[in-house]
Amino acid sequence: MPKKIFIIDDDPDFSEAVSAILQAKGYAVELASNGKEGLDNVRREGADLILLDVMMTKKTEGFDVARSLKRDAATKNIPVILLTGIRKEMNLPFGFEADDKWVPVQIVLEKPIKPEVLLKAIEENLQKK
Amino acid sequence: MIRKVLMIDDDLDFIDACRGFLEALNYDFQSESREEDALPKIQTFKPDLILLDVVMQKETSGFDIAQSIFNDAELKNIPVVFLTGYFKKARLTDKESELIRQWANVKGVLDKPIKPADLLKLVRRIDEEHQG
Repeated sequence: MPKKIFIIDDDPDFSEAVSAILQAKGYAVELASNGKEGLDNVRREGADLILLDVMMTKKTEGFDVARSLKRDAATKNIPVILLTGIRKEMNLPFGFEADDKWVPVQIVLEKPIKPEVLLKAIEENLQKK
Repeated sequence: MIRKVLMIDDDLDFIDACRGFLEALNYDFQSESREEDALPKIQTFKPDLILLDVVMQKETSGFDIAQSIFNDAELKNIPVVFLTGYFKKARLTDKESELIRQWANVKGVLDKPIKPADLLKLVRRIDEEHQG
């Protein structure tokens, strides 16, 4: 059975490009374009790993989704890779790091992301699962 | 079916970005950044698709290469896509527009900067035409 990866991102171009890469590597891919849809679908269908955007309907939506996933016993063990352009887009002088309380994800990657970096992070986190 | 992609461009960072994306999609990717080596590279690599920049050593290097491809009976059916900022920056002269219209193998133009998703859509469209 191929591993199932959920992409929760409101940028259809990004989702389409990443989805094509993941499918080429043999992963099954599901897409959601906002946090609520992503949470509902992951709870219903399960996932082996989640790629989660930060800025969607709300600027910090991805952080809220990550916390909701962590609070739910059914989803708290699913590895989450946070993908964000928030630092560049908001011109913040600092980035974000994974943090149990505020950013409860496995790793934070800054967009634009090189495919080989993303694939390595996915493989490593699927192995840890 | 498109498997081998050759990119002819003198921007090494741009080549790297496209290489990362297309190799992740399992395409066999090679590149050439020197205009004078473009044709020999096409002849040896025999790509299924050529991604071609316009402005290299000369303002219109890509057009010269496209013309050479089109003049070569063995190469003239290889699909070519211009990846360039040239069409946005410069108004095509009547002669250039006429030239491009003659090249049946030119399947599209993507203006730089290019979104990976747009490149993917174009490659898939050419692939479908190829098979269809």
